[in-house]
Amino acid sequence: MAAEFRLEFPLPLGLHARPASFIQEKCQDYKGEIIWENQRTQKKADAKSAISLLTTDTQKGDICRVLVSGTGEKKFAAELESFLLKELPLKEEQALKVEPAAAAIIPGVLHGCQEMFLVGQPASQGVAWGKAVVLKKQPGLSELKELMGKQADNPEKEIEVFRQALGSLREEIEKELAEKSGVEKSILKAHQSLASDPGLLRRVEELIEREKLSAAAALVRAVSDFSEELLRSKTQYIRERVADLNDVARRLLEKLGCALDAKKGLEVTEPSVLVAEDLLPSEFLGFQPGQILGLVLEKAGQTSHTLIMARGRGLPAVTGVAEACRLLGSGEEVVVDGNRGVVIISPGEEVRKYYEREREAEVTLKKIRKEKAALPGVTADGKRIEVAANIGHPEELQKAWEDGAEAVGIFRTELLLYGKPALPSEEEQFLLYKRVAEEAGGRPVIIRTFDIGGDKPIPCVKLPQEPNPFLGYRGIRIYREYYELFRSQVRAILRAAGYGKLRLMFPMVALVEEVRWLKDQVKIFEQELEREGLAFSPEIETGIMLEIPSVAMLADKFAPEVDFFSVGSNDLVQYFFAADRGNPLVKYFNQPLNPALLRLLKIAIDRAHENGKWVGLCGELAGDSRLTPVFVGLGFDELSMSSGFIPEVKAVLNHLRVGDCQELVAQTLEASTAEENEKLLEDYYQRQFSPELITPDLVILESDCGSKAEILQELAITFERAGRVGNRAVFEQALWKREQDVATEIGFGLAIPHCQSGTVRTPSIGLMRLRKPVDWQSKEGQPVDLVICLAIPSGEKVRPKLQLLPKLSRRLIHEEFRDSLRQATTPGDVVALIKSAT
Amino acid sequence: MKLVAVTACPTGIAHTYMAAEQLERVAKKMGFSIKVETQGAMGIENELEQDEINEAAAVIFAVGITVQKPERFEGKKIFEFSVQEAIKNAEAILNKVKEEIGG
Repeated sequence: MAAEFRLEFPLPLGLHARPASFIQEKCQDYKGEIIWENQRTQKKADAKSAISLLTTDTQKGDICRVLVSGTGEKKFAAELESFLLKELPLKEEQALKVEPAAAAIIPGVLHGCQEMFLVGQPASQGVAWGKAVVLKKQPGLSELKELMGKQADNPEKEIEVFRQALGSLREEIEKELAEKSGVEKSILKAHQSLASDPGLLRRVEELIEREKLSAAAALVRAVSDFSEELLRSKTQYIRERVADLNDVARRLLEKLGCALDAKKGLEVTEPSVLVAEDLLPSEFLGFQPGQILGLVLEKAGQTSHTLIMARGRGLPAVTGVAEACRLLGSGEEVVVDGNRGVVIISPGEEVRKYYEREREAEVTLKKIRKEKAALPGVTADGKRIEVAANIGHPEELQKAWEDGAEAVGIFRTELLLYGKPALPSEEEQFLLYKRVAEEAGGRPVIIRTFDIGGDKPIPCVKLPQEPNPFLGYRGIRIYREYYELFRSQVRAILRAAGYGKLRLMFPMVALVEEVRWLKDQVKIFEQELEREGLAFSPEIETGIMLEIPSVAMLADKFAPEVDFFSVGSNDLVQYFFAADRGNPLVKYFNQPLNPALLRLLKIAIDRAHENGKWVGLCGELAGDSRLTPVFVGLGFDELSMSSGFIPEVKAVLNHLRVGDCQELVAQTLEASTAEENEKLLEDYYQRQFSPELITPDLVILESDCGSKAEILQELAITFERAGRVGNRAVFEQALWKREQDVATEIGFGLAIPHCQSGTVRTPSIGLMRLRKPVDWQSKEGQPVDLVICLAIPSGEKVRPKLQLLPKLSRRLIHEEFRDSLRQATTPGDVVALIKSAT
Repeated sequence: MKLVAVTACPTGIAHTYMAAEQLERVAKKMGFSIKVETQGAMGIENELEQDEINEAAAVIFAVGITVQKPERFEGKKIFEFSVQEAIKNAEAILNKVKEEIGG
């Protein structure tokens, strides 16, 4: 009797190579048979083979039947089901951080000048400039017809040859693995698992035995068959995995003595831009890092491993460039604009200058971000609010400090357990926490103890199946049963605390007696350590997560028991509104500005403060800089977020005054709906915070720009530098689009480039005076010496600020006003003139 | 001579209003009475009443997009120009209108 279960396949990209290899890993040690059957495609697979699983073309939502037969089949079936539904989606979520494919943006310099260029998709940021090397198009494996039918009369010998080739390839990859790290390492690992895939190996050996094929012929046949199946998949990600399969097959063929002539095209004598139909990951890795300046590919997918590695190395890349290999010649000079998805061939002087200015702009913008990151976590009127980072792994610390983190507000330790077959020992944990404490160099780090259960199942802790895990056995609730897990972690933290400034925090506390129990245990652990003669820090600050509403209501009674609270907004919101945050049907309950939630937070923070305890926020909300005034008004003492958000939150924080924020919050507490509060927040921004339409940093009095393209580029850079637009390339393109409708030169030496675009953050006016009049490329147009640029966010409603633009436009018709703009001596004077006109 | 006009351009934040201002300014200088409706990002402003349209000797459209509520102008003599022309050559436009309607 076999054990079986059915599941609806949960992953958004379907069953592709990465999850397939996880499933293979999970199943391979089970002594018995595991069959995966997709009821939609009617295809069956051996779950111990990643490739075999791929051929079932399983999409999200497909109903699959899994049959386990062998010893302990029931137990394993239950384990596998839980793995597929809980752990696998989490792993996938972590791995999937690939940006969606974007369309090309035409750089302004290409408007109105005769340059040859090709359009694709931006695939890896940056701009490269250099000689192209066009890599010869390689024959697809299925085109190797002459090999396909090649017979051999001694199957045993062929199998032997094949196994030797496999062994030697695995060894080779093993060696390469030792030299790589990060993304490149994990991609090589995927290739290693392909080279060990039992489904592929079995198929090859079958072909050798049954059809008397040579090892090479059998390999080509097997891989071609698998590739064909993969290519039929509806999921792009799966189709793009054919490159990995072919890569491994090619390397194997070489080991079998069938050199494919592939490497010949790959000789690069000087640092170059590589142009290819596609580039296999192993080919990419075959180049010395300095040899490649950029990549131009015809059909590599955005999720192809070559592009993922290119992003990791910061190499500019454009993909989807049709016919690139035919249209580009080796030795030709090209520009690869990976920000915009454009390749320019034999660029002229104009293009060179354009990209030099882009590079300079990039340097300034990075500097501005760095400056924001270096700001102190303090409001304009001097209230200190610690701005901290959320981390899941010690490797994230470096970036957190670079982004300006002043502390770690939460170190989610359970992330260390994913993919681990066994729990880490106390000693292992001690060394890790010690390293974190030391690397923090005196900055506080809050270590949150294991929060297992709920949506975070861990393979090494087998929790019971529950109908409602979020309301069940998770966080500290499991510590009595899994006492050793709790004990070893807290002991490790206590021992490491002395090496820096560690704080201890417990998840999922709901009752005061739970905190008392936790503290009693900590005391016991301290006594143990003392007896054992192990050094530890006795006065570690201890806090609790505030994620269950009961803690908020009783914060004054919790306060004497703890040193601090930290609000986990994700869980608090879902427990407070009784709405599962992962369920799209009730997603609308995610209302950070709901007055009920704000009242709850206000009660909790006030009661904590009255009792001398501080309150932080470590949920996702903390990173939304739009909400920072609300958090300041509520009285949070610390905000902890994904470190990428820190510079912007700090910049906003530095402009806020506590009194204004408190006034805002007082109003929001009286509202009935989140929508009313959205409006209140918007009005607050209008009143307090929204920048003037024009500021001196948007005025350029003596510009040397010599062409329209240069002027629009300079304006785009100026607007991004001033924080008025999010992406200057998009803004520049929007300005050009308007110019193409009808040029905005209107006579009187004046041009008014303008646009409404989603990348514009706030209505803005820029002004540029030119030393030498410039031709605006308009019909019967006159040269322009005064440029006024108007920018409006898309979807902007009728607002007071917006009505000023028509007023200004009307004033510009009057000669005296134009003259005064031409004669103003400082940017401040220009700003004053425009304000007087609006 | 009484005239009415409508100005409108694709983005509706600059040219619409410049053309309106220019038509008003030049008409005044030339001794005409004119009311200009703007159809821009703020919606329709200074909207023309049916009476005003009926009384006008001619209608001027200085537009780069389709005029909204066109039914109001049925049966009227309409002079259509680009927004740019209205800004750059308002005087020529008004002279042309004047000649054609013999005012």
